[in-house]
Amino acid sequence: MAQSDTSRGLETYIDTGSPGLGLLDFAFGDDPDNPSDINRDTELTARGVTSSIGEQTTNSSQEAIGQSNALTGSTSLSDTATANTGLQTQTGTQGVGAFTGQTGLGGSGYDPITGQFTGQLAQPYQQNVNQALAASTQGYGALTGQDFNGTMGQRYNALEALQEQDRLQAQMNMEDRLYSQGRLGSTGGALQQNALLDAIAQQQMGNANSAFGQAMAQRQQFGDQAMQFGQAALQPQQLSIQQLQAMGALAPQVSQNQVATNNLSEFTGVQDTTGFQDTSTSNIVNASSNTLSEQLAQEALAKNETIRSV
Amino acid sequence: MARPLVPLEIMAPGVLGLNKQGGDGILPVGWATKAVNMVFNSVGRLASRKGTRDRVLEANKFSGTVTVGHEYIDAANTKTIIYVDDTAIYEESGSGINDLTNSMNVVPYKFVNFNGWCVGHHPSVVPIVATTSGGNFSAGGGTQYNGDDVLAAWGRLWVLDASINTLYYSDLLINNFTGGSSGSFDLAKYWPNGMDAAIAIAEWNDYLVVFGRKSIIIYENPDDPNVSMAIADIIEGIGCIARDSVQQVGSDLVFLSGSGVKSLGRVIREKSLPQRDISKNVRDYVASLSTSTETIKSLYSEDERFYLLSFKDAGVVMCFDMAQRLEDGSYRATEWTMTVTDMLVLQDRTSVIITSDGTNSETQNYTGYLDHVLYDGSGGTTYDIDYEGVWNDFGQDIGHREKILKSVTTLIGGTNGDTATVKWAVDYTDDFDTVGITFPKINKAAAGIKRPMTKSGEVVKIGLSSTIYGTEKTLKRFNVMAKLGRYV
Repeated sequence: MAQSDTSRGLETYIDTGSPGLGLLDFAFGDDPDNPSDINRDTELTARGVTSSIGEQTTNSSQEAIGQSNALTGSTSLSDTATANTGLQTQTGTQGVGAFTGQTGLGGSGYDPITGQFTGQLAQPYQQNVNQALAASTQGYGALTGQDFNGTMGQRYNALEALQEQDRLQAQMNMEDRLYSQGRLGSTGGALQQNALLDAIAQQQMGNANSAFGQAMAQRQQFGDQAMQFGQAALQPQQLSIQQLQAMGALAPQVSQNQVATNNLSEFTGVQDTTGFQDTSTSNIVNASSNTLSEQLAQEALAKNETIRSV
Repeated sequence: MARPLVPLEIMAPGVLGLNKQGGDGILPVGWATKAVNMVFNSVGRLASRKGTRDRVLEANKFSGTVTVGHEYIDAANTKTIIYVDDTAIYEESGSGINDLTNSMNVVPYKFVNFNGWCVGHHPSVVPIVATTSGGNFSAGGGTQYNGDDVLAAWGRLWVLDASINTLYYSDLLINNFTGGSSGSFDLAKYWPNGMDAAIAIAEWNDYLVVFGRKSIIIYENPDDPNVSMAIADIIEGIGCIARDSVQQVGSDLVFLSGSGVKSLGRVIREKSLPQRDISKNVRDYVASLSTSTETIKSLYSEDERFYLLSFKDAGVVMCFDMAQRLEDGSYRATEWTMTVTDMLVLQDRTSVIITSDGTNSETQNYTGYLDHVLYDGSGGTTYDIDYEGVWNDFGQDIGHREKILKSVTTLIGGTNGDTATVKWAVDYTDDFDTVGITFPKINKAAAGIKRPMTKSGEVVKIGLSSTIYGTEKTLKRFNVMAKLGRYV
């Protein structure tokens, strides 16, 4: 009964904390009252995700401390060295096994032996990632494959085509005007025509600059799109990493609490839920929970020694 | 019963000038069918022209033919006359001439004064320039264009290259045709009726006039050729056939066209009277003289009020009295027998006539009443005047009756002792009977001299010829008396 309360308290904590931590439900199993169920899930998951060293460690612990060792092993989820060390120190040879988490986003795992996090996105997310990566790749491909000069030339030609008729008309009007004035073929007329040609040349230069700017903008657009797709593809992984980090931070606490709780429930029947009262001060609670867990663990060890001696 | 005498009085004979277009028709008595070596004097009567006097000593006469005479006025307002004959370019200096050729080509340049320089252009040689009076000619610097005609106006030189139908203008105040504000106009694009050949250019009432052979282009704002100079008008069907026939006459521009002497009127904008036919009554005759247009020269004298147009090959100078325009728009004309190679009017208004006998040339002032008077005033040769009136029928009432000529009374202005010959012919046949008259011994008095006449006919023509030897002769009146005969 005490275990059930403890597990529910943890569940409450998890539910009110980061949504990503909801995956711990999977680690602890659906029924917190059934330690075997927790073990079973852990073992099943560990087989699929982490090495068998965790299992060996768990088995050693079971041999050493009996039925509760299995709980200890199953709750050693911390990814912090101190936590593991503390636990291992406290539990002797009973090691902390690899663990995995599963959410709607996908599965994540941590192997404390190798210190590696592993993650596998759920299929829809993975498809999205693949699509985004493909789009990003396509975008970058388009960027690298883009004929900048060709694009600029196309823009330039388009602008020129728009203005060409006006220019021709302006030139013809000037010729008409010069001819009506008798200035066509004269130096003064040529000066005027040259001025018009200069203006046209300036316009063409402006068109060239505009085409260059448009080509550059298109290039920038391709780059931005590729980057956006790339970022979109990375976003689930970022979330996964955040989950893993969260898991890593939370694992030792959960592990210690579980060990302590098991010990209490097994050897004293006293439940201490101090560490799970205030979710807003989790660090402080965790700290006190760790201290309590250590005390309980020491008491449990002492009892075990007493039992052995008896 | 004796039949009465009828008079035929011809007041101011030939006062309307030559009329060679009327043919044998009956014309008003004021017309003349011949007026040789005559002009219209200050009171408008037909009179003998003046003679000529050499400007240089006999020993300094030009060998060959002087084709060009030009008064050069340099920046210091020093004036001298430049001549070009067959061998050299000369400058008149006192009674002599100096050779300024300086190894330049000797061709009949067209000279103009430009910014203190004397610039000469010719279609086939490099332009030449003299920068001061008395200085030798040298090749023009910078870019130069050979030209069929050259004009100095609006601070620029304007050169007409007929071979490519282009009008060039120099930089401002520099005879250089590149750089600065120099440039050109393409005339070929603007000739009406497709194409024409440029002949001459002239300044006229602040317009630049380009004469083609059959058309005229008039530019406005030539003071700013690069910006605002533009065609103001184009006249079709009339052009200029002789470059040196163009003269400014008051506000008009007179030139020889293929159909006679014309003038541009001032009302160019209204186009109501773009040109006037000056030689309307001698058109065909003038056209018949225009065989070699290169040797046609002209002159306009404000003092003498005439426009002279010389035809060297024909040995004729047409004289148009510009003092008064006739009702038909033409000007009174006479003709001179003189082989003129060039003419010019100096700044002091002296008219200079350059003549050639084929061997030597003379440069002479238009003065006196003897030709070829020497430099010192001695010598000189006489010349003849010749007048013939029109056919007269003595009026409509008796026009178809025979006139039996009885006498002629001649009133002529002249000098005592002068002689003249009165002549007459009848019925459209130039078979003249003549009678000589000698002026009575009165000094420059009009003399009424009566002489008997012969012949009879329906129409009668009266004339007079005389030799001018030092004094002017003026035709004032003929009074013919005749008896009426049968109807014809």
